[in-house]
Amino acid sequence: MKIWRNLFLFTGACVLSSYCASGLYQLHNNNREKKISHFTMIPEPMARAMTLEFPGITSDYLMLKTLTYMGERIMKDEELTPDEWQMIYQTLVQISNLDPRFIDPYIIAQMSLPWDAGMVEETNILLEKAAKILTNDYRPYFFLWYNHFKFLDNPEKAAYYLEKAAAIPGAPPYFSTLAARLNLYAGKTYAGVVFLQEMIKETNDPALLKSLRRRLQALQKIGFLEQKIQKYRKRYQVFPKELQELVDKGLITKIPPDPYGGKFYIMENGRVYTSSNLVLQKKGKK
Amino acid sequence: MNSILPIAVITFKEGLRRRVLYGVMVASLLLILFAVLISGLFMRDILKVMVDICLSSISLGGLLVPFFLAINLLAGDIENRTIYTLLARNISRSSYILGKFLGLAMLTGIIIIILMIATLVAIYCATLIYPAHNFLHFTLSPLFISTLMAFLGVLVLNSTVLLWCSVTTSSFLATLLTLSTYIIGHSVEDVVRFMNLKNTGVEISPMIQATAKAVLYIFPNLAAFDLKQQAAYSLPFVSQEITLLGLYGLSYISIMLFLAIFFFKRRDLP
Repeated sequence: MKIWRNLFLFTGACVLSSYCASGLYQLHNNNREKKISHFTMIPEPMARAMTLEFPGITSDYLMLKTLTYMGERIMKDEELTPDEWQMIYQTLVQISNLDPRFIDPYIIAQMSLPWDAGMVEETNILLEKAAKILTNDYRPYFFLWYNHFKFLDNPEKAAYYLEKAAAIPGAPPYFSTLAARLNLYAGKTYAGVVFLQEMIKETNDPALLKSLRRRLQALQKIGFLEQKIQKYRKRYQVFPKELQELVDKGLITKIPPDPYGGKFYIMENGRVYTSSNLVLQKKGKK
Repeated sequence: MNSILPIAVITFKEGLRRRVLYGVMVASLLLILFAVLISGLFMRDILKVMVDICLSSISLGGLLVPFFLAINLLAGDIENRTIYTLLARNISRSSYILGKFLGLAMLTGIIIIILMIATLVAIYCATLIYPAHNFLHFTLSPLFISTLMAFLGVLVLNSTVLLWCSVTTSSFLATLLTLSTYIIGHSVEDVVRFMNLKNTGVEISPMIQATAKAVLYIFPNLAAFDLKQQAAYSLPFVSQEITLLGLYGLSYISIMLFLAIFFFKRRDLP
């Protein structure tokens, strides 16, 4: 009898514990506080002092939390709010405070902040810090070039950074001629393709790769359409008014779909834009 | 003085009897698995993350000695009154302290060696799994130098444990003092540096500044022995820094042992 009673109590405890564990998980999942870590709010000298002899592993932990946080949202095709982007930026700054030589926070900042959050200036501050510390790495200057070229429309400063990147041993040889090949308006799409191809080489995170590949695909399509528009212009001395005209004249078979769920359209200057603005459209919304 | 080595051996064996090495070996296996798997989740600095995890584990393993073993072995001797058996055998109190320190150093050394082997195995496994470009700049010497300095840092903390055990009567108090020494030792340099910044916008009284500076000289600067970040990026070490660290460590240990012997000799054992 005693054995049965004990077995009954033990089974009951197991069931109750499993029920509570699952309930707590669900509860935390639903009401999860939108924070990566409270540690990111602590001022730099305090943070360094608090990590004792473990700032390196603390920065790894924060990086992993950031990647998981962002990855989860990207995989679900969810958009992050400005507050969330601000929090991600703060976390990346804290990681770079704890371990300034760690390249991952700079790369993830460049991959996401200027594109999805419009935080170009903030990203540049981080990259300037990286460039000062990682003197043998061409990437911070390469990223600064791209941000000045694409987002800040400042070709002089962009050229300055590209020159700096090209001078660092290990930089791809085509950097030295890249500046000459690009002019601000015609070159933006091509620069974007070059940039994204370099970024894809930098990551093995599946969620980020998915996002980068989608962006690359969109830019390649825009590049392809702009090339055909130039061809049209050469032939007819005028820009087409709509992309459909390219199909009608047999230059393309159909208008390619935008991977972000928007629609490509042509501007007066012959450049191609998309109604999605390279931001993933919510399902059902066109 | 001839009794130092036997006491060291007894301390070492007593430490081993507490199944320390089994625990460390299990921890090493977990370390290899954890380090290899988790580093793959990062984008570029796979080697850096691996070395961070491995060297942090080495430091933690080393810290087991001052926090758990040393205090138990020393204060336990006094609390359980086993010290009388030793001192009754014509062993001087100074030999007892020095012997204990040597025994603890041997224990720390063996733990760090086991974890270091685990680190090398973990890095070897990672080279088989992850692309070779992640390991292009990897060199062994920064890893060894960083571990050696971590070892010296733990020895410094061991010597402070001996001092605290000599001046206090309870193991709880000794643990508390050792923990305070550890936290102060790792943060005081940053605090002093922060106070010296002129543009912080915060008014700090000269009295506090002077106290912080005094603390920097009185407590061991344990943060200086932390060279994990240099090792993680295989950066070359400045030989002057290593020499200074070595000399600082040895001189600080001598001072702590000297003070521990001084107080222990004058202490009335219960």
